[in-house]
Amino acid sequence: MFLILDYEKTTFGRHLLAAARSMHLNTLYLTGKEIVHGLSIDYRLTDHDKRFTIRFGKQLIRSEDIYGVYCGLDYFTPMLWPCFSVKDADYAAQETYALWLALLTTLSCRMLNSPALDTLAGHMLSVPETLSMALKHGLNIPLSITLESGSAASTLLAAHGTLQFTNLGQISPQELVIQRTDAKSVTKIKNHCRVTEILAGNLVHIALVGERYFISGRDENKSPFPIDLRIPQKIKTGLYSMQNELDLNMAEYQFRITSNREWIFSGYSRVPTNAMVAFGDTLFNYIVNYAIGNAGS
Amino acid sequence: MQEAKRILICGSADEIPVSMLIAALERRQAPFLLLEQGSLHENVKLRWQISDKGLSGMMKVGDIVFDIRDIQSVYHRFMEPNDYWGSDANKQVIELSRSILQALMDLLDLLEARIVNRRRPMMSNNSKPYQAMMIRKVGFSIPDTCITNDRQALEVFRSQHPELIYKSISAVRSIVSKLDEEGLKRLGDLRWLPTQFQHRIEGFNVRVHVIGKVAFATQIISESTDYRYASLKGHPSCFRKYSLTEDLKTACVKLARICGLDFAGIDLIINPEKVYCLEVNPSPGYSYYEQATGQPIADALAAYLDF
Repeated sequence: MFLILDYEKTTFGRHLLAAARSMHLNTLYLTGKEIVHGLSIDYRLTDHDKRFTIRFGKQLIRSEDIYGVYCGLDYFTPMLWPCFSVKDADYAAQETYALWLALLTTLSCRMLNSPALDTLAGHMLSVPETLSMALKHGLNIPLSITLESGSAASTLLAAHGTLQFTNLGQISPQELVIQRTDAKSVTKIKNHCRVTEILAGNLVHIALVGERYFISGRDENKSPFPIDLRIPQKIKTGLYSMQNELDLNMAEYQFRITSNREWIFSGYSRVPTNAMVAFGDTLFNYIVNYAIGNAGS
Repeated sequence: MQEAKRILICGSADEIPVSMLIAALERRQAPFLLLEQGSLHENVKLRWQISDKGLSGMMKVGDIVFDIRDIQSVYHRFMEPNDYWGSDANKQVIELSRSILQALMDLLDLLEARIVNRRRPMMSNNSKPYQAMMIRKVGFSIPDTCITNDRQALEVFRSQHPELIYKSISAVRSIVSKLDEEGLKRLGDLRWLPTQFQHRIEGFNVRVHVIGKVAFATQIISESTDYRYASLKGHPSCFRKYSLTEDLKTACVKLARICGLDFAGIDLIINPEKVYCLEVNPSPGYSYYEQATGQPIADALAAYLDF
């Protein structure tokens, strides 16, 4: 069984499902709602054993029958329990996360990606953590400053023109791109904030699945397309070791190549959305083969 | 010239684990700074950066300004700002406090200092079965566990283990209860949410506080299934210092290390056949055990921070 998990059906998940079915793999695609309301689960853990059985409709799936997993589901939100009180829904979300972290950790098959303590879909680091790790692995990074107010951030904005901006007072801080014209509204923010430099240069995305690289650029319509670009060995080595430390089997890394041909790392995502557009079926077939252990690593 | 080392204590001095640690640091005359949760929004400012040159920045606590690289160690026990301030509090104060906390916790993830404890390893307690898999690796026994929303599966498990307890799967605190007739009646609700059942283990409870390589053990004598709530049921628990064997101490220190925790509260049940480990608490309220047994846990924690 090839298992696909997503919060809700996504383009990426659907393509993966199609690729798996074209290979005649027994595949199950579950959404958050189906996981929460449509499964019967029996999980066992002892000193010497760990296994589970899940029943979905007429399908009975044993942990040992699962030979590959794609998990795009980070966590469960309380909204999945609309009939519960706020407190009960929050409890249910935490309990379900705790269970699925254990279920996924129980599996011995290859996972894209392995669950991490912070999300079921693999490590998701903060911007400073990501940049710090990239630096540790030999990549050049932009400047990212955490500072005491929006007013302090607006001074930097005046100097740089465009920045990535995060108001750290929000419950789920969002990364926004701000321009000089936003300076007035940013100045009013009393909270600590984070700003990150956006460098000029050509945008390049490198998806790394196992040990294979898929490189894409952007055309004049900002649409991703495959590019034939030699990745400097230093970048290859850095990405590979960073992916290892992140315990990811699949991720897409973003770089800017500056006018003096310097590669500047700016972030990563666990779903290779640019490679998906640029490479289509080639990527999905490779991912499925890799997940089930058929791709040459 | 005196070294400009800084020990940061983050939390509320009204909380006993924090106040006992402060007292222990004062006894040592250690140079610490308190980042009091209630006045974060007035007293604390951070400005730090990560660039090709690495991590650098400054921090201001009250009138004291210092380089973040002078931070030698940190103990943190902050509450979520909404919980600390309550729902009626000034929204701006909550937001500002949250932003300072976020800026500080992001920094602690990167700082090469002794952090008690780092944020990500603390998350292992968010899933007890996940943590149980780490516990097994050290050689402790774990209770036979069944997590299910299927009544039939539970009946099969009950037939193997007639005496069961049930408790939360996540870090949300729940009272551990025996699965008795009353509990069985409520099992109609099981289909809505998988529940964790474990075979009830005979033996006595031991809480081990590990700080680096030092361990303090407390035996808890209680008639209650969950000794933390024993007094509510009219069965007060009795605490006393417990001597760990060298092997057991080594296993506890190893477990804390595997979990990535500098300071941990490890819950054991010991019987003549086996030592079971139930869980590893990443932010232990050690004061309760120190007050009951006189073991110098706060002093050891202070020494760990003031190295």
